Amino acid sequence: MDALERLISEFAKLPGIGRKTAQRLTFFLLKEDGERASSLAEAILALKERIRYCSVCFNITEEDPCPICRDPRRDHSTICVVEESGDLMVIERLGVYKGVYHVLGGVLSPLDGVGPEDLHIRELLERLKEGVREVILATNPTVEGEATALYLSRLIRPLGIRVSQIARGIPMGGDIELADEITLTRAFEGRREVEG
Amino acid sequence: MGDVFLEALELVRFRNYSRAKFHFGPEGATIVGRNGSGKSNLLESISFLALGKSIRGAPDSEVAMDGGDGFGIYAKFGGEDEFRISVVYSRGRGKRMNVDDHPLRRISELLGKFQVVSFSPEEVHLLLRSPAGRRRLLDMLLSQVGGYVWYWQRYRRALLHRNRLLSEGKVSRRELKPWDLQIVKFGSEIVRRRKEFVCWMEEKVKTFYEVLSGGEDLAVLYSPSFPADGDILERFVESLGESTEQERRLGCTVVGPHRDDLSVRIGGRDLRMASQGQAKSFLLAWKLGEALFFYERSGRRPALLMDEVFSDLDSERSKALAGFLIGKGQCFVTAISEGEVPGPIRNLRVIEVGDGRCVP
Ligand SMILES: Nc1ncnc2c1ncn2[C@@H]1O[C@H](COP(=O)(O)OP(=O)(O)OP(=O)(O)O)[C@@H](O)[C@H]1O
Ligand SMILES: [Mg+2]
Ligand SMILES: [Zn+2]
Repeated sequence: MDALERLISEFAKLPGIGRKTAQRLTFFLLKEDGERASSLAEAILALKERIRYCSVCFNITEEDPCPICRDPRRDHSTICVVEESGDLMVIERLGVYKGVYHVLGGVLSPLDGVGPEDLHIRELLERLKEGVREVILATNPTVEGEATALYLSRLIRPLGIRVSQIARGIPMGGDIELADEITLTRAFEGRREVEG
Repeated sequence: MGDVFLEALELVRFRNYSRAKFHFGPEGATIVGRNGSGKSNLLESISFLALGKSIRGAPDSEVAMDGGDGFGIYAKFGGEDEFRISVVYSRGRGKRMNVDDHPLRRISELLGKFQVVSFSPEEVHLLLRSPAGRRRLLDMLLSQVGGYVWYWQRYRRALLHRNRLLSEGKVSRRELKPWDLQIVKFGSEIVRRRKEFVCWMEEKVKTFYEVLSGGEDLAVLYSPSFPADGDILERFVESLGESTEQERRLGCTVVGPHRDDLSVRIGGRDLRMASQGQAKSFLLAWKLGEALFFYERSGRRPALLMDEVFSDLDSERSKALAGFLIGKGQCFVTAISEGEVPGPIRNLRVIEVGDGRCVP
């Protein structure tokens, strides 16, 4: 495969990029001076070299543990459980939450072959041994997100830890990433004990 | 609230109509024409105005005239409320709908503007001869009422996950539990609504059927997969608990609304034993019940789209049916020829179709 075709097909593998866009990007880079191409290539390599998962909360980070996990001003007795790092970023932007996080890395989904052992659940249970008082479940209000929250609350509650859930305020069919900030802030303030 | 009626309709490259215009009165019309002339297609196009899609369940691409790039349905409504609805589909850009000149973002925004109750002969087999068909009969109307579809989608998804776990064999109770809770939560709401709906329909359908059949007895009964009395959610939880053994053996969920049925007995015998005409009469009685349901909820009578309703019915039944159809909102019936329809229906304006056009 020649260099041109190789780059086009690499671009086309990215989410949201079709073949046409991939071609446009490739020809754009071709016309630019070498500077642009090498800085793009470097940025991509740096991403893979420097960014890793926090060994405590599984957030993506450049330093391990991540800045949130290392921050002594944050309340380490409250853990907010989210599906992905993207969800964590949305909540962080609100600036209302002062506790720490745990990123599951997905949701329970038997149809996709994802079971409890495929998520960072064991690691979460380990963390709970260290003086955690409250766990806030902030999975998305999808069928899978709800099932995951129910599964976790049934594991955690017997340990004598308070389990609450947000996302009740997010409209039907909503998604944390799409929820506007006011709704989400309200969801945080109005979090409730999980039923079931 | 008064009725609205379809006053003018224009079809562009819709099925066999390359371009056709129709005008209707508030009472409706008898549509006549040879086999294959486009009578059923015309009724189908009217269903798009109520549901945003084909009532026969045909995909939009199939409805577009062969070799064409898409279709357009343009309608003007009159009566109590005057408005226009258009449904335009193109193979490249998909489907767009407008009420007056206001574009709709989703089909649900169209629901309730103009309502239809339809009948077609193929439904007799489709909806009555299997439990799955009878569940569809239950859901057809409920799906047009707030939130029902949302519950169904969630129920189905949770059910699929749960069935996958069960089919894999040795799964722990702990892993199954969150899915149990989900199907029970969404499923019991579906059961509750179905139960309420059949309860409402029961007497009405019975009365319609008695008149249609000249006195035959009809009994309609919701038969859920578990005893749904008292606290439905509790009952669901209980029977799910009781079916653990069976689930393990069969590898799937054996109770829940996906296993519901509608029990229909005509003259004391199960629907399976019913004759063609009896089954058809029952379905018609049910549809008349649906029309009444819409009327009581919204104060508006739905348009009736009655395809080939009189074939298979003896003259007594035809006459009784005509009595129900006439003078109750706009009614569209189809026939091969005008002579085929019973007395009272002959007062409807006759519209002849042929070669994909309205024959003047
Ligand atoms: N997408 C399409 N493009 C062109 N023609 C179509 C398309 N879909 C269906 N037709 C044709 O439309 C014709 C009319 O069908 P329709 O079912 O409306 O007839 P009908 O008048 O109801 O006949 P019958 O009395 O037999 O029920 C059929 O001959 C069919 O081949
Ligand atoms: Mg027909
Ligand atoms: Zn961390």
